[in-house]
Amino acid sequence: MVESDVIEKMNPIFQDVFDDESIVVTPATVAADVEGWDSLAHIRLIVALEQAFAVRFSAAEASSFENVGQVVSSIIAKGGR
Amino acid sequence: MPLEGIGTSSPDSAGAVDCQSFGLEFTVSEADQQAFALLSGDYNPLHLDARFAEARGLSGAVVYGAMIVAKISQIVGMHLPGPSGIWSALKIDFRQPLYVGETAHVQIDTSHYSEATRTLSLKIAVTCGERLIASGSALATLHSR
Repeated sequence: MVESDVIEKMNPIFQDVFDDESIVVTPATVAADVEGWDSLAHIRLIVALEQAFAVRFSAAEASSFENVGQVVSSIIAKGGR
Repeated sequence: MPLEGIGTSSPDSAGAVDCQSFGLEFTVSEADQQAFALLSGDYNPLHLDARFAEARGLSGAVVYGAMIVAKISQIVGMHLPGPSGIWSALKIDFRQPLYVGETAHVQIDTSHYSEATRTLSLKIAVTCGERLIASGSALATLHSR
């Protein structure tokens, strides 16, 4: 997958996790840009992304992502599909 | 509310939990319904008065949906993942009514374990014989010392 494929597949996941169909993320999106992106929502997001892309993040990764672009890079590096 | 639980273990595949699946049977009595009505303040006669419910096309008093959720809570809190876990999400669809006095089976299976967040994704099915009463999913996160 390339970055645009991952982002395209990510958007409905974000919309579902944050219950907001208007969310459109970009590589530059950070937690502060998304209303409700707290620690519990972060857990739901990580779990949903792992299942959707058939990848597994480490605990260190999951707590250190600084923006959506870093998540996308990790998914691509792990062979997400 | 008599209970019977059965778990299956597979420690290698889930890692941090002892049990991958857990099921239990339960039967909700009229006394259980009355107790829940008192607790919740929901005195809807569809749940408490079989004649009232039957006059409206049902086959008897309908078990409160929250009573079914309570049995799911029992499994999550006591068995899968158990006392170190707490749930952070629940989605449930009620498909068909469960009637007071019927015995139902709640089955919860682990569909995914996220090591990064120490969170289990759980699939839930509640059946009564061949009838699917409810289905859904939940997330439960492990908290250890």
